[in-house]
Amino acid sequence: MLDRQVEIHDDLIFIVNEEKTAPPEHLRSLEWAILTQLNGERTVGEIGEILSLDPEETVHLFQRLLKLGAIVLSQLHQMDHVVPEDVFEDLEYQFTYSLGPVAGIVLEDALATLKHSRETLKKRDFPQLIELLSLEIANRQKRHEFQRHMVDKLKRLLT
Amino acid sequence: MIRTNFKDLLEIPGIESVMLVDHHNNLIDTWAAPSSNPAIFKEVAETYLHIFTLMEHLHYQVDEICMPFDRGIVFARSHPRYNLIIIGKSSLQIPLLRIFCDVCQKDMDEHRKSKKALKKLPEKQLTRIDSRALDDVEKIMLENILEEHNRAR
Repeated sequence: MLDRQVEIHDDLIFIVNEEKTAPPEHLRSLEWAILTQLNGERTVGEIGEILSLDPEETVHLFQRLLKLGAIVLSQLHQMDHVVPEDVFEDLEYQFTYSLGPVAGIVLEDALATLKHSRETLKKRDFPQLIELLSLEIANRQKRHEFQRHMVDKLKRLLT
Repeated sequence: MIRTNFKDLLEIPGIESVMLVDHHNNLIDTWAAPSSNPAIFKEVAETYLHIFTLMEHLHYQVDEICMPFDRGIVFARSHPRYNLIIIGKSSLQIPLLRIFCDVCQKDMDEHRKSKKALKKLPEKQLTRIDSRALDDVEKIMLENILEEHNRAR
């Protein structure tokens, strides 16, 4: 669902949506050509170049394929995105609830251990941050509640 | 049991199979993606039962093992009533796997029905290795390890 709202730009990497492929009669020849070029490594820009498309046309074709559900954003590429601010706000709220008033300092320490800040932490490093924070919660029940909440968050963030 | 209690875990992309095995090496439940081969489950489970039992025998506190192989990783956890074994793609993130396992295992331990079922399972036999299940090479290896361990003491 979220994928269909993606703003197409040259650096994005898409893959064929194995779950739902648009019926062939809905696809034009250039759209088929794009599908054949998707290999999980080529970016939108590179595919546009290979097929000698102008940038506007490339964006338009990718948008249509996305709308038809024929392509999805590559999982690996999604992992390179930084963690959204609202996720951090929720994380801090839950962590403070579980650990107490020092939660903010512990969170900053954990980020420093990962050599990141709230602005630079990538999605792929988020589980490691959760793991570091969980270890700081001595109360088992509270640790479980924190992890349970973060599992729901991680599911939405990473899948 | 796996579909009910490990539903969240199964949603992680890259998970190929999950096994729950009791301490007598009986498969309690298994789940496998279409691409994986269920025929290997018993053998993999036995290997990890041996590893955990040996670790316990040597008084090492190892409850979790993660091992890469040519096509992915095996992640195994020891619990007083069962071993949990997960096979997945190499791209699987271990911290992610650990958090999901923590949550799912705790949920299972606390769930009324699962609690009853778990109680019926045999407890860990910590200081006994089932020599009937070992082949000659494993027996020799084990003797060497134990000898080395005793010498180091």
